[in-house]
Amino acid sequence: MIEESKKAEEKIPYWQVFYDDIMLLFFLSAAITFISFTVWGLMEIGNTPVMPDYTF
Amino acid sequence: MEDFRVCPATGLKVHKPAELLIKINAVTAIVFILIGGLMALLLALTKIPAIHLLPSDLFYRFLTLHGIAMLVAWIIFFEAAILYFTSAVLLNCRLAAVKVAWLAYGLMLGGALMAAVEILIGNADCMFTSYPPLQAHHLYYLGVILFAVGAILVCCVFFGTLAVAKHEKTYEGSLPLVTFGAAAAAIIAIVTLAHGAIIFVPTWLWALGVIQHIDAPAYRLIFWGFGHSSQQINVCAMVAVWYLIAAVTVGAKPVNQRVCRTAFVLYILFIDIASEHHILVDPGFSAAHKAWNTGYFMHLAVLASMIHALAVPSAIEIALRKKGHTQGYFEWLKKAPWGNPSFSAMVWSIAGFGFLGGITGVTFGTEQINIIAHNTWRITGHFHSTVVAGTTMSFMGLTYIVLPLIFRKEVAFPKLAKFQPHVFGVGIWTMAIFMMFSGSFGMPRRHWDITFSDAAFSIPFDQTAMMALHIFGVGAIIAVIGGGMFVLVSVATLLIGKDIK
Amino acid sequence: MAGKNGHEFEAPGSFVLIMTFFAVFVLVYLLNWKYLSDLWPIN
Ligand code: HEM
Ligand SMILES: [Cu+2]
Repeated sequence: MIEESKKAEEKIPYWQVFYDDIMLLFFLSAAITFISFTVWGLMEIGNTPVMPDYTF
Repeated sequence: MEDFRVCPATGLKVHKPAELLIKINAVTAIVFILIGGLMALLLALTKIPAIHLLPSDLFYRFLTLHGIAMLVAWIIFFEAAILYFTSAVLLNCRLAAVKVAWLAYGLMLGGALMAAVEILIGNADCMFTSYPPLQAHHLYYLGVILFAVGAILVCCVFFGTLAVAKHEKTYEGSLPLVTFGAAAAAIIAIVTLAHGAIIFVPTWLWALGVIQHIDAPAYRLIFWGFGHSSQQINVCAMVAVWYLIAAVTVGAKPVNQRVCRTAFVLYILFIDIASEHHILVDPGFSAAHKAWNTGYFMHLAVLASMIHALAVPSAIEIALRKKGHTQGYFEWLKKAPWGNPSFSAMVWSIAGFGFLGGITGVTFGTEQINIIAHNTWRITGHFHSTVVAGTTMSFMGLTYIVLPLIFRKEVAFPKLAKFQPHVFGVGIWTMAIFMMFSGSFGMPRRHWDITFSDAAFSIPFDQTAMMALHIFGVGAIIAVIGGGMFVLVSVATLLIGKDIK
Repeated sequence: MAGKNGHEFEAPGSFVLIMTFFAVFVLVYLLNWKYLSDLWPIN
C-alpha cells in the first residue's frame, strides 16, 4: 500500500503536488497579503505621529 | 442513494440537496440584481443632466443600496451557487454539511436584508465603503457582518465538499480546472472575509458606542483588503465560468492546463496586494508601501489575466476549427454559436473584461496615473467594465446553462434570451466608455449634481463632458433594458418554463 | 501561418486578437502618461 502510493507520487510532477495542496496555497495567500499589505500598512499608520491637538 | 439523480444530458450524478441550494442561491441573486437594477435606473436618470430625477438624499441612499445589492448580494449569492455547482455537481459527489450551507444562506439573506432595510429607512447613507467618520446605524454593520459570516461558511462547505470528493474518490488526479478556479476564488474569499471581519467588527462596536474611535486611514487600508480582494474572488469565479461555458457550448478544452492552473495560482498568491490601488492617493502610507504592492508581484497577477485571455479564446478557436470552420483567421468567429446566449454572454464578458476593464484597471492602478483618475467617473466606468461587463455578463451566461441543467426547465422566451446579452453588452459598453470619457474631464464620482445648481459658486464642466453624460445615459438605459430582459427570461423560465424530462 | 517547428499555428485568429489587445493596451497606457504630463508639467 505504502509503496504503491509512493510510486504514484513519484509520477506526479513537482508543480502539480504544489498546486494540489489547497491548504498550502491558502496559507501562502494569507501570509503574503497580511505581511505585504495589511501589517506593513498598519505599522506605517502606527508610526505616524498624532497631530498635537488631536481631538476627535 | 436516493439523494441523487442522474443528469440525462451529462451523465453527472447530482446531489439533490446541493441542487436545491444552487437553485435558492441563484434565485436570490436574481432578486437582488432586480433591486440593484431598479436603483441603477434611478441613479442614471439622476446623472443625466437634462433629467436630474432624484433629490440629493435619495441619490446617495439609492447609491448605497445599488452598491450593496449588486456588488455584495447579487454577485456573492451567485458565487455561492457557483461554488456548490463546481464542487458537488462537477465532482459528482454529495455536498458536505448541507445544514451548514442552509445556515450560511440564512445568515447571508438575513444580513443582506438587514443592511438593505437600514439603508432604505435612511440609517446608512454612507455608501458601501462606509468610511469613518461617516457612521451608519449599528444594525447596518451587523447586517454586513452576518452576510460575511454566511459567505465564510459557504467557502467552508465548498472546501468540505472537496474533501468529501477526495475521500470518496469521485475524481482522479487533480481537481478539474473549473473547480480549481473556484477553489482559487474560495481561497481568496477567506483572506478577503478575514479582512472584512477585522474591520467591520470594531466599526460595529464603534457604532454601538463600545469603542470611541476608529482610525480612518486604518479603516481604509483594511476595508480595501476586503473591498478590493472581493473583486478578485469575482475575477477568479468569472474566469472559471469562462472555461465552463466554453467547454459546454463549443467543447473547448484549454491547450495547456498546467499554464491555466499556474495563472490561478498567481492569482491566489499575488492578487490581493493589488488592494493598494485604492489608497494610492492616501497620504498615510509611504511610497515604499505603494510601490511594492503595485509593483512586480502584483503584475504577476496581471500576467495571470493575460494567460487566461490567451487560453480561453484559443481553446474556443481550436474547438471551432475542429468543427471545420478553418477558413482564414476568423471564420471560426463568424460561425460561432452567436445565437446561444451563454456563448455570446461569455464573449461579451471576455472582451469587456479585457479591453475595457483590464486595460483601464492596470492603467489607473499605476501610482502616478492614479492621481488623475482617482474619485472621478473614470473609476466608475472602469469597475462597471470589470464587474458588470465582465463578471455580471459571465454569470448571466452561466444562468442560461444552469436553467436547463439544474432547474431542468427550457429557457422561456428563447428569442428574447438570444438578444439579451447583446442588448446588455451594447448598453454597458456605451455606459462604461462614456463614464470614463467624462471622467477624463474631471467628472467626479458619487456626485449628485455636477452642474452645482444650488451651490454658491459653480465650476462649469467642458461641454464635451456634459455631452458624454447624455450618451452615458442612453447606454445606461439600454443596459437596464438588457438587465430587465435577463430577469424576465429567468423568472419566466422558473414560473412558466417547460419542464425537461 | 507556420509555427516554430513548422507546425501549423493552431489558433492564429486568437493570436491576432491578443496582439490587437496589446496594441490597445500600449496605446491607452501611453495616452494616460501623456495626459498626466500635460496636466502636471515638470520644470
Ligand atoms: C444596468 C446596469 C447598471 C447601471 C445603469 C449602473 C449605474 C450606476 C451609476 C449611475 C452609479 C453611480 C456612479 C456615481 O455617481 O458615482 C453606479 C455606481 C455603482 N455601481 Fe452600478 N450600474 C449598473 C450595474 C451595476 C452592477 C451589475 C454592479 C455590480 C455588480 C454595479 C456596481 C456599482 C458600484 C459598486 C457602484 C459604486 C457605488 C458607490 O460609489 O458607492 N453596478 N452604478
Ligand atoms: Cu480595486
